[in-house]
Amino acid sequence: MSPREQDQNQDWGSQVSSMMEAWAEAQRGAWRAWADLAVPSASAAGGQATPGPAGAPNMGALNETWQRMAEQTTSTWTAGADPVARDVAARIVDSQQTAMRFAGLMLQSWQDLAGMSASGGDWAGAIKRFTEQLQSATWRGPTSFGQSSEDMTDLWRMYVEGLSRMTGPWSETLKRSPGHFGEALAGDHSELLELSRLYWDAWERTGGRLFEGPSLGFSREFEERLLRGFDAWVDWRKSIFEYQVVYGKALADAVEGFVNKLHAKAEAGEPIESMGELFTMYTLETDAVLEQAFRTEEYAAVQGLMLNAAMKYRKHEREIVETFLKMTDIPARSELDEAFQAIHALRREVRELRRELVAARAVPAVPAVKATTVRATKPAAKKPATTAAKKPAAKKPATTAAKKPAAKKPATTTARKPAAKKPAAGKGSTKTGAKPRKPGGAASSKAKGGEA
Amino acid sequence: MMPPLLSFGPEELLHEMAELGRKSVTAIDALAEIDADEIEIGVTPKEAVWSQDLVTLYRYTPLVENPKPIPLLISYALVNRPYMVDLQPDRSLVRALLERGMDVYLIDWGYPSRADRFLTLEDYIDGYLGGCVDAVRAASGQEAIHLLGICQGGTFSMCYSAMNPEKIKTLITMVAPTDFHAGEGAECGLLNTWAQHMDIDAMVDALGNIPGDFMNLGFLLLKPFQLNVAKYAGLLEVAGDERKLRNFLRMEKWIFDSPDQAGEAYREFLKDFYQANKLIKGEIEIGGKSVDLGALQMPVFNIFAELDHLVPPAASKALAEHVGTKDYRELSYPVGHIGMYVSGKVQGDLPNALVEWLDERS
Repeated sequence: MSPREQDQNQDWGSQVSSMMEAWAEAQRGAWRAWADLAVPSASAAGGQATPGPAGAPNMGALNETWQRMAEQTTSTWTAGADPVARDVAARIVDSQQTAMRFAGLMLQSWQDLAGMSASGGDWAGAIKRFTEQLQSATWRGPTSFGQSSEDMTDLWRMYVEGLSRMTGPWSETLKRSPGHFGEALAGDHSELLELSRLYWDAWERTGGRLFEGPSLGFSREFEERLLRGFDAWVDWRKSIFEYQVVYGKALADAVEGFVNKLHAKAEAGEPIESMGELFTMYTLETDAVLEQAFRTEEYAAVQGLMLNAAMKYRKHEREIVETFLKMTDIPARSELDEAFQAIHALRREVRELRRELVAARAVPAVPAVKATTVRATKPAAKKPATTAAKKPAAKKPATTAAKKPAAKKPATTTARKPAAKKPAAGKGSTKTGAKPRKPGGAASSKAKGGEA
Repeated sequence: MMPPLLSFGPEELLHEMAELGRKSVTAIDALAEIDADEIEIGVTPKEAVWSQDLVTLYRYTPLVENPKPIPLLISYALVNRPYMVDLQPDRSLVRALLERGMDVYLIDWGYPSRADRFLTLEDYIDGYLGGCVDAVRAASGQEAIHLLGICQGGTFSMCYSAMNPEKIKTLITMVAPTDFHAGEGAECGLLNTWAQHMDIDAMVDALGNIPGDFMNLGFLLLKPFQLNVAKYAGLLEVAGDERKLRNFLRMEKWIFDSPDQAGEAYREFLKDFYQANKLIKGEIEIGGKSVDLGALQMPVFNIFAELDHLVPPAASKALAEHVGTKDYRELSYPVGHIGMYVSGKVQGDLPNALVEWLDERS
């Protein structure tokens, strides 16, 4: 390595060290701030600290700063690493951020709990308030579908913003559209005329150059596609909202379950001893409650609606994009699919023909086998493909079954490992003559047949 | 007086979070040391012996001088890559079978591209799986071979064996669903519950091939906090141990190495198997041929995971009620779906159980 390369490496190492130190310092700062919030009143709360006075630092901003630094540093640090290692490093940062948010949440709730504890007040009330506090911090769901979008015009603007990323030279025209569709959908259909003119202009600048003039029919058809796409997009947004409501409720239930478990452990004299233990309990409890929710018809239905609405919108989106592609002579997906379908049919035909050829030549059924790579000691030619024809399906199984009676084989295997090692309950009860086998003490086994 | 919920205060919390940060830095430092393409999987020597379109059949180099005469063909699922059966030397079902004298073949389904969007179950089961079976029969000189189908590959194997029983000496299914609606409540598969509300036609029409990332998202949602957060927090505890860190990365590589699903095959599998549960009703048709599980007259060894949240035990165990053979055996382990491939206990026991069972029927 040249001195210059060594210098560069040293610089690189110093840079990484600096970044890591800054990251660590940001984290230390964030946690010192958290501690400052809570420590002053700890003694007053009988061991459960309460946050300090007003004027506290903005913890959200501190956490964001840390997250940003951690992401940048990790990304730089692992730039030359294996892609899997890079992904895992990024997930470690995400995971730590979640743990930090969770810890912060707990500190926020400390004051309320400690206050109740110190005053000997209403436990049920304290737990309820604590739960609500956690739920509120964990989940702030939308209160109505229209909250984020005041009216159709706003929705239309969002729609075309998304769509315009995919529509090349047409995107400027789409951006000029806000207002028109919203007003048209609200009842003033005269706006469609103006809209038609916008697309006419766009046509002139693109497809119109290739042809003498577009038909009005095309324009109408295109507008219909846009409108259908917009309807599908609105349905999709609605379905996302409905999904979020159901998911949010499940998450709130999960928090309640977590707090109940926390309370139960406290009453049993087994308080949680570390943040790690608390976080693990939260994780397991949340997933358990979410799984119950996921199994409900309500959840499955609303998730299905969201997915189906997304697919419907995507189809409409593709129709619109394909319009532009076809106008500029770029193959569209539907056209490629036609070609792929034809290729698939041909591939299948070739496969069938090869099979027939192999059968006709009475050579082994290895149509695509590379002769040089097949084991030479057992030439394929020894077993002609006609074997299958000589031994019809109906005969072979019968022979096999007769040769190996069920009563013998399972008995042989099960007898070696006594069932006593693992209780047979729930395993062998449904099988006649079955004897559980537990190799290595880990598995259970049973056989079908008349081994009784 | 309310008992304390937590026996630690802000000072301890501060210390613990600082420690968490230190561990994160250590873990990321260790990860940064692992160069690109250094995470190797599927290292047991093998040779491509047959290929068609995107599918490749591999034969593993035998580890004994005279391997057993009847070869074993492994058919994995389309959803993830088949090297899970050969993840690393000390966690390799393939290597364990080779060490016990088996002659092992493995189907690699490949990565479907847009050009493969119209592949159907007929292509996969009758075409590719059938082609591999014939190639192994021809190469080994055996009329019938052992077939081991895993997960979705197990379901494929059931179908193929039912249609071509003369070519299959024994059928082994591993964490493979048969009755897709089996089980009540928590015993019922979550994927099955969700699939009932999905418009599969809309999905395939809109997406063409179903992206592997989309499939992964569904799996990660099954246990969102454990699989997306806690797993990586847990890694911090072992990141200082290079061997454990590399084991973790191999598994991570496998989990997220998800091929896209050929659109038409996905449509058929989800609609006919998951939604309509046609397999146990005898209503599945592959290439115009009916699949009757009663035609499974060869010996059948059904292996499943007792804590499987992807293919619930009930979905696998249902095979017992539908096979035609009387030589049927079950074996289960107290592990999850993935644990079946990587659990130390399973790795230590399953190869012996498999080879013993096969020897008795060879």
